[in-house]
Amino acid sequence: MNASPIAAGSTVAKRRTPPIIGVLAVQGDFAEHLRMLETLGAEGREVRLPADLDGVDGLILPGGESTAMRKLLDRWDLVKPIKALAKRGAPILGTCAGAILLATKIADGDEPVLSLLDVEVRRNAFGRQLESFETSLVMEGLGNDGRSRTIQAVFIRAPEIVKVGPSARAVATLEDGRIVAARQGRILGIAFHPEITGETGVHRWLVTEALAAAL
Amino acid sequence: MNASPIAAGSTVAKRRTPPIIGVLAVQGDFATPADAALSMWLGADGVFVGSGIFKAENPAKTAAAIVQATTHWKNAAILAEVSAGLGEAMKGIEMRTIPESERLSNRGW
Amino acid sequence: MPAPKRAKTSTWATKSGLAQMLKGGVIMDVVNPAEAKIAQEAGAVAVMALERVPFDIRRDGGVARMSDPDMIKGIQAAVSIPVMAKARIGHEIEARILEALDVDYIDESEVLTPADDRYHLNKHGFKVPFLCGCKNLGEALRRINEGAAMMRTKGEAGTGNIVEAVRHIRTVTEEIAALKGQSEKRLRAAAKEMRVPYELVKLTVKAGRLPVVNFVAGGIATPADAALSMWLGADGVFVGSGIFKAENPAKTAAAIVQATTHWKNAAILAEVSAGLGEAMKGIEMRTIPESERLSNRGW
Repeated sequence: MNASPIAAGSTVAKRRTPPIIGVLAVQGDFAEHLRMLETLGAEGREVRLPADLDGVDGLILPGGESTAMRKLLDRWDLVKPIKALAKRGAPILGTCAGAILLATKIADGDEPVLSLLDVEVRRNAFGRQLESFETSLVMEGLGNDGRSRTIQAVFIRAPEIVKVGPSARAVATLEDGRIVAARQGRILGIAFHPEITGETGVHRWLVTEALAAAL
Repeated sequence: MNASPIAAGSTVAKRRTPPIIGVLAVQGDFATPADAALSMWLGADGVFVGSGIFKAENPAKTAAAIVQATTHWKNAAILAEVSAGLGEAMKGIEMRTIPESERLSNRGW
Repeated sequence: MPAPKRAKTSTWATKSGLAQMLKGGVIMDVVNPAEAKIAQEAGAVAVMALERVPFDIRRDGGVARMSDPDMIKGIQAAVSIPVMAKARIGHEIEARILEALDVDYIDESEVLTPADDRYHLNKHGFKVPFLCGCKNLGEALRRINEGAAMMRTKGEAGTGNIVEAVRHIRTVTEEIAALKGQSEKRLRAAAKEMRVPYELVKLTVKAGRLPVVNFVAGGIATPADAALSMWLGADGVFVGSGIFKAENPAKTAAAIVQATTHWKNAAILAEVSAGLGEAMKGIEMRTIPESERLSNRGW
């Protein structure tokens, strides 16, 4: 808090060995994602304006309030450059609210935001805060050689993936069969928060994909 | 941030119940069903309500709600239900605005 | 459909986690569903449902209590963002009622008239998460020790004057900084003085910040006030009377949301601060006697 609020040279992005992962920082738990990236040796960068996306190799859409995030994306025209980033093959991870932003359809009326992941999501699908929960679940692609692995997951006023379209694939379900993660190429949407449990597998996947995409 | 910094239940406020000899009723400045239930939770055997009822916007409804709350003080769902739609409660007086010399509770010793 | 059967609900991770999701956002006081919709439309991350905003509580005097359950339900039905509500300090039953109403957070708040002048609630005993106000590190850690999963500064609610909130967040930050690098003996002494466990002090000093999310609250009235709070290290801001006592609530609300996100960008701050009309009038602190200051409630 002692540093000047105006960061110098924030748009300069030289090509470096560790990939640069942007983290949408308009609202939400972006600091937790940046910390995860730091532990993995990747360079994280806060993204609030389109210029912040210049030179990033991948992007994280964090947990937060999707309605607030939508307003902040719209106000500064971030939707188009994020779609362009996906089109270039950069991996994008959306957690909770971030998964809602990625979906092609939102149940109960709301217009989709980025439409990058062929799924339909339902917001607050489990109920209000008292129905927030922790559980273990099996997720595809996190183990050695892309095998499945059991992880601890925290769901907070979480969305549910109610339908997976033909272009995407469910990669994690709850014990009762409800889908909570889906992937379409390098786009991954999950309803829970690996960034607050310290589960590094999902971020490791993102960084690996970012390196592959940059090659 | 993943674990509670301190185990649950490490602090004070469990229901404080001294053994009761005779009947203790709480009388005082309460104006809402929640106040009546709080008195019961604190260990009272019953409540007296004075101005709380007839200074309320809707005395009959408030009185009935306070009676319900005194009976069902352990049942939060019932408390929520009877607390709804009562209109303005008695306005109330903030304690700091009453000088010690004028506090009725100082009478008797 | 509720949480799956074998899942654990109301864990510390879910309680403190919701606050983590609200970071970088603005939580707005609202008194009816129409205001809640305006807040959500402006980009609020949550609303605090209460009967009167602090400015009116201050003006009207009397005892301020939990809101009518019907009003809270009306607001829950009107918006999809989290809905918080206030209970009086130490009022176990108001808090139980709010929990039964399925609010997303309870604010055990000095803005309402305290019900217990000795004990705050044992917040570990509830399923619903709590937030509380603080003026300094000791108060913050006592509340966290009692189970608060989120903190905010007290500031001086209903004044539109940010000076107290600035003092409170600065005090917390400076008190943590002063403990950094101190011996175990000193930390134990500090813990004893603050009446909290040593482990909690150690955790705080190691993290260099409060171990839960901390927002600034109490007196924020303009986009610049919100950005100042973020610059001082806040995780987000609460705005009470500052929005619906302003000349143009919707525009002011949206501008404060933008300022909270873009607090580092002076050009954007200049842009969103323009043309908002009259802010709430505000009250100079000297004119409020000590006995009338809400921040002196709670200990």
